[in-house]
Amino acid sequence: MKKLLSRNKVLLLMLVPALLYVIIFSYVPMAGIVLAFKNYRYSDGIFGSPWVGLDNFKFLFVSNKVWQLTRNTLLYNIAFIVFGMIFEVGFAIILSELNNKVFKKFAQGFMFLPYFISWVVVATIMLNIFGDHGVVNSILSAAGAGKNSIYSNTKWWPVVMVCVRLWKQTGYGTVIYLAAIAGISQDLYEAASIDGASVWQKIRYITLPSLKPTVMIMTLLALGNIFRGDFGMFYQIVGSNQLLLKSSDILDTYIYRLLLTTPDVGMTASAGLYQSSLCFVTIVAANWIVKKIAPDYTLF
Amino acid sequence: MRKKMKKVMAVMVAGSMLMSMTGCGNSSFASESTTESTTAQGADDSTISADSPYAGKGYNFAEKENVVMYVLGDRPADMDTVLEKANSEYFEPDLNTTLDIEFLNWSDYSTKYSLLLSGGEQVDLIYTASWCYYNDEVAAGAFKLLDDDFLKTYMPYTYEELPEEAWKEIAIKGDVYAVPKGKATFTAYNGAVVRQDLIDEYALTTPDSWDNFKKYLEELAALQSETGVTALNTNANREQLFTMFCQENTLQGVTEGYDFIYQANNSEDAPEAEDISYTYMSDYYTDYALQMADLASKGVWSSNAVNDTTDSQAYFENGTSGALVWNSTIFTAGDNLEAAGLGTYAVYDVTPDTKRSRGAYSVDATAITEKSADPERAALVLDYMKSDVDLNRLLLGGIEGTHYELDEDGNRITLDKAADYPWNGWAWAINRQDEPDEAGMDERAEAYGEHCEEMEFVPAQTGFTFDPSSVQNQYTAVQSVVSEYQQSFALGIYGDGTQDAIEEFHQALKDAGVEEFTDEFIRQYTEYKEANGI
Repeated sequence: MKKLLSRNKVLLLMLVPALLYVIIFSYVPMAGIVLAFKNYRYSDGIFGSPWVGLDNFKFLFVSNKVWQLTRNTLLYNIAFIVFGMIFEVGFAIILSELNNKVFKKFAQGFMFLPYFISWVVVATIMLNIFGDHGVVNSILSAAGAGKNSIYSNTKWWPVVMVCVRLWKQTGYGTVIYLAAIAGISQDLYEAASIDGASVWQKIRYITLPSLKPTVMIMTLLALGNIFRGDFGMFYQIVGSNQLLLKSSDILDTYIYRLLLTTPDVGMTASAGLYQSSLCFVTIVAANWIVKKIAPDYTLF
Repeated sequence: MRKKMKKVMAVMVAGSMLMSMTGCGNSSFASESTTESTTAQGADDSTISADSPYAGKGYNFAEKENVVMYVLGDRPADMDTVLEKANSEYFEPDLNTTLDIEFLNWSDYSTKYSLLLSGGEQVDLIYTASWCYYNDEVAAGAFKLLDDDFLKTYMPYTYEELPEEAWKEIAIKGDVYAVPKGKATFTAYNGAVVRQDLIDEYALTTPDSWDNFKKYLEELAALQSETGVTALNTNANREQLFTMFCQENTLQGVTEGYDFIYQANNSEDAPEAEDISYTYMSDYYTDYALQMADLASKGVWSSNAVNDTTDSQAYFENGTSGALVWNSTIFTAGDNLEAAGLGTYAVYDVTPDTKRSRGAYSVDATAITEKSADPERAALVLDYMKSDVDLNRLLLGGIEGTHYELDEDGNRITLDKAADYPWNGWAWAINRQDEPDEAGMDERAEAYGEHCEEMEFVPAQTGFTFDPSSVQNQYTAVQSVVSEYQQSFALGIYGDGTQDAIEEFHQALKDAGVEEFTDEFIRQYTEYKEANGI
């Protein structure tokens, strides 16, 4: 043990900041979970406030809304993860196969750009393009077609959300896969070329299998947050349009609206705990499944 | 190495997964007082000036203290200059105290407010209101109970000056937890500012009644392609027409902060329990929703207004809206429109025969926090701010001669520097009854104000407050349903499907427990009514 410590001294030291970070910001606050079971009073403090059992959770279930919300959150995130992965891996491969360096950098930069735009701005841009007096409608009406606002067309809304999300996030994800592709030994490609493999065959038999571990890890990490919606995105783009809320209300926006009018610390904590528990169950289950299929790629 | 990486990753993932919304476990409450408090025993006022209105009253000013006050709004550019003057001329010599004022911005006060009270920062005084978590924070024990003894001892001047009504309105079950403002205006009464230039040019209907106002909007909507002006350019952040609709039907709220209404018919008598209904379950609301859907279908506002977040007042001021419905700030909007040279305005009282109540005193108040290390000193600071006319004016409007000046009638004239310290930009909760009016006020504004005074009424149940704690779950769930649908009905987005949407809305409210919630409200109201013989 001692030998192990001294041998890895530098590595362990390098670990210390991350470890401290996790302890301070992730483990210590976990004690706050007790708030979910308490009627929090400022004067009594977190641990002195009276216990109320599961009372704080009742509000989530009182209107039966929580199932619809959980479903929305889950389905949106599954769509984001699946399509996100396909697009990110796809674009990473396309970029890696490009020979024109200038165009490659240019394309990559452009793909990355939307990642830095805040959802607030995205929402405004969308309104100005797809809204009542937006660009699309102006072109349509100039061409003699009738007005059509996506804001009152609920059917397509899930598709819209997925598209917007892909537009914004693909660039970022692509960078990760591009890095993974860069890490694949060129010897493999050279050997394949000598054996007469085509570009497609190289992608199919070298690039994709080599990306498997990265894809697995990224997916597992994403699964950990599957019950946690992208609040900024949904809140900004959907706002308080009830027509859209039917298909686009997620746990996060619901809880936000709920507690904005009645700021109750206990209820907020219980909502957070509900979400966290679902995430916890998902990640443990997903990891368990991965362990069965491909034990090398598990997180823990 | 790889295995170790995996472990680290695992720890991090597990950590981030479990890090829930509970936030940090900060539990530093009532940061222990290191200074001696300003209790009336052990009097020591050698540290303050002999002219201080608080000298010789038995307070202990031995320790120099700093009081921190939080208010809502944006920090005026000249705040520091004003504070420096207030501290050096008033608080330091007269109370041996310095005052610090911190601002919670409009954009994030709702998220910061509770955190501030539960966190470790020093907060002695904080703005609160019936619409700004007063009831909730009192229920959570955030504010100090201000009993009669405390008020008489540590807020001697304010205790005398504030009208009894004000104390009654802020009390929850008879207990006072905050000090209300000193001047209540008709903030709950809405009028309409419209484009007079367009009325003249296109011979539009004069909007002098609810029906005519709607007609005006419809006529203007039909002209949109010609004028480029949206009849009522509005958005999801302001529900512009509901208050006016209530005025038209003489609907009155039973109490501040909870959506229970009754038809008052201009009578001050307290309503019978059976005449009270929950706003969103009432037939009035259905009628309102249908009228809004009708206006929306006629293009009075843009069909995606519900996704718009630009401020409606800005729309009127930049000439793209044909009307703005709000309280007396409509005059400001009109002035700004004219100043920009984009058109002329006229203000109409759309419901001139309806009696109107002053906004409650409790819509702006200041509370002393439970965690304040020296609540007595904080109370004295608040008392001084509210009772000393000069200090009060300094805080409200800045330095006389720089930001404003008074004319011979005692009305205030805005000076060039006023933009750096606008009159009453943040100090709504400490204003006084004798706050000077703006000089050279527009005749239209004056007439409007006078009419409001003439038509004032004070319903007999004023002072009744509701305590939702026994139906907290239902209340929270009902609120969430309301917040989901409210803007959509207000902007009529369901069109022909409004009636169906209303039924769906009612069902959702019932599922959320609106009936238990209403029953509890009625029960508490009946109890209050019997106890007070009204």
